[in-house]
Order: sequence, then C-alpha cells, then structure tokens
Amino acid sequence: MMKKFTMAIVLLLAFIVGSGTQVFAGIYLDSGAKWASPSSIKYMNTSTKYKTLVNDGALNFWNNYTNDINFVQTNDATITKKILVYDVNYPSLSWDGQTVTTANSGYLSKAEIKLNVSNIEEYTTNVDKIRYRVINHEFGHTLGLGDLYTSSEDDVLMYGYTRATPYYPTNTDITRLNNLY
Amino acid sequence: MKLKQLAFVMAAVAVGVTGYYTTDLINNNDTQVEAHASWSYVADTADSLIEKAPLIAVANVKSIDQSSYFPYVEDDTTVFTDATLEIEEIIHSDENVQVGEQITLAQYGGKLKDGKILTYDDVPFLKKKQKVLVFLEKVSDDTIRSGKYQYFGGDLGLYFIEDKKKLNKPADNVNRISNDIETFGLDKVKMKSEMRNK
Repeated sequence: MMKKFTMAIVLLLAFIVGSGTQVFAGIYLDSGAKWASPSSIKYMNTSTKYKTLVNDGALNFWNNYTNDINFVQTNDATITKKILVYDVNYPSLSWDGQTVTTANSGYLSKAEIKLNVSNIEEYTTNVDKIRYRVINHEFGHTLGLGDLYTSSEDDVLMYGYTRATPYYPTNTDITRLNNLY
Repeated sequence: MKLKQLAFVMAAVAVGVTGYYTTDLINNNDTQVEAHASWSYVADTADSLIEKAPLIAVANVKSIDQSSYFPYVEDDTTVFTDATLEIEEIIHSDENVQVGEQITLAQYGGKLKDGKILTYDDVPFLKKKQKVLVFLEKVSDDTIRSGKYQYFGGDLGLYFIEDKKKLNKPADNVNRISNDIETFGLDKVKMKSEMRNK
C-alpha cells in the first residue's frame, strides 16, 4: 500500500516538475529594457527601399533630438549587439513596421526593425512623412520605448498606429527617453 | 535494475514530459523577446471599425496550438501560433461563417526556434475557454496563413467578454478606438453593427 502511494507521489511530482519547467523557465522582459551604452548604439542598414530615410532617422532625427542617444552606422555583420534594419514585403500582415527586441537582465542585447514596404507604399497621401514616421517610430522601439497612446495622439511619435504626424521625436517622447536612460 | 523499476522510471519520465506539453504554451513567461508593431491604419473611430471589419463575432477559445510557425522563408521572428475559435454569435459577416463553426485564428507571436517566446506588447495570446469579441479578416496570400483569420487592425481586433456583456480591451496601453469599444460594451457594438447590416 505504502509503495503504491510513494509511486503515485513520484508520478505527481514528475508531472508538476514537467509543467513547472514550462511555466517558470524564464523571466518576462520588462519593457523598460535599455541599452547599456546609449552613446554608441550600432545599427546596420540593409534596407534598399528606404536606405537614405533610415540613415536620416537614426543620424539626423534621433541623434539630433536627443543628448544621450547616439546611433552609429556599421556594416559589420559579425557584430551581434546591434540593430538590424531591413525591408520585407508582407502585404497580408497588419503592420507597417515592426521591431523585435531581445534583452538580458534589463539591457537590450539586439534589435531588428522590419519595414513592411508593401504596406507602407499603400499610403497615398503624406507619403514621405509616413515613411519617416514608421522608421523613426521603430527606432524609438529599439531604444526601449513602448507605444504610447495619449488623448491628443498627434503629440507623440510613439503613438502605435501609422499616421503622418508627428514624424519626429516630440517633447513627450524625449521626456520618456530621459526617464528611461 | 529490475524490469518493474525500469518501467516505473519510464512512466515517471513520460508523465513529466506530458506535464511539460499540457501546460499552455502561451501561458508561460519564458521570454526576453518582445515585438512592437506599428499597426496599419484601418479606422479612425470605433464606429468606423465596426463599419469596416469583415467579420465581427463572439467566440469561445476552444484550443491553442502547442507549436508555432514561420510563414516566411528566412524570417525567424515573424512567427504565428494558431488558436481555434468556435463562433457563438455573428454580429456581422462578409465571410461565409456559421454559428457553431470553428475557425482558425493566426495569432501574432509564438515560440521562436531557440525556444524563447516572442510576444506582442498589445496583443496577448488567447487562452483556452476565454470568451472574446473579435474583429477579424480572412488572410489571403501564398503562405501557410492563407484561409485563416487575423485580427482586423492588429490590437483593435480583440476584446475579452466578462459577465456576458462587459468588454475588456486587450491591454491597458491601447488607443482610443479600443477604449471606446470597451466603453460601448457588447450590446452597443451589436446595435451599431445592426445599423450597418440594414
């Protein structure tokens, strides 16, 4: 009787351990993750459609609008700690741009920006502003900024839906960034 | 080792493995990978969302696939995980969908090839047995997603139903359209949709 009881307990423990491995295997990334060295954030621009706009976004918009952030372009594919920017053509997806960030212990270790050319090119008005908007917004995500929805949605670059304005970091965006870094 | 002991060890391993896989894939926090999407423009207001969505339905989450998939070659971070929804009520449909039918929803996000879970900050994964109000569109492309459904307008497409009528937006940080749909509640969404259906 005791033997069967022990066996049942062992099997139960095995089930719990198995489940627990899946449930507790990691720590959720807080969206407050940031770069350890914001004064030199490497990015590699492989976009063909928006090559110039991407460089403008990093070097002329974000670098000029902020004091502590400095994007540096690299063509060295072997660097792992960087932001990779590239074009995709996914017309059936619901997004114009997407940023995927990876972090360890609160610090960003790499990021990638996908620019969904097929969707971005669907816009027929304010086309240049919208292109800048998507690119600059995604760079904001690579810095650790999440989307922000305010009642006056034109106040923030980090508003989560594509629109023409603003297409540059606003005071609200910069304040958030300063709070993060 | 005696045969009985060996059988017992094997049973323990099998039970452990079963425990691992019966846990909801989507329920775990095994992630340091987060995606932020800039959702494409689909609507300016809650009314226009109701006016434009191809399928608006109340549905029950029947199951979540335990595996994820990558529709695009050489893209290891555009990942999807299917959920099966059973349609309980159709509020509006441009699609040939019936009450009681089960449809497949291609959820954004899922398990990456390195085992980490990629999540979207504003569109949580569904869980089995949840009741939801969904605004959907059918995917038509040349990938494995074709024929499945996706949220119309990204995070605008999902609301959790509480106490039969109360709606909860998918995340705290969402735009005013989602806030308005939440404020409307299920009855008002139905009422507004009826005007569209006339």
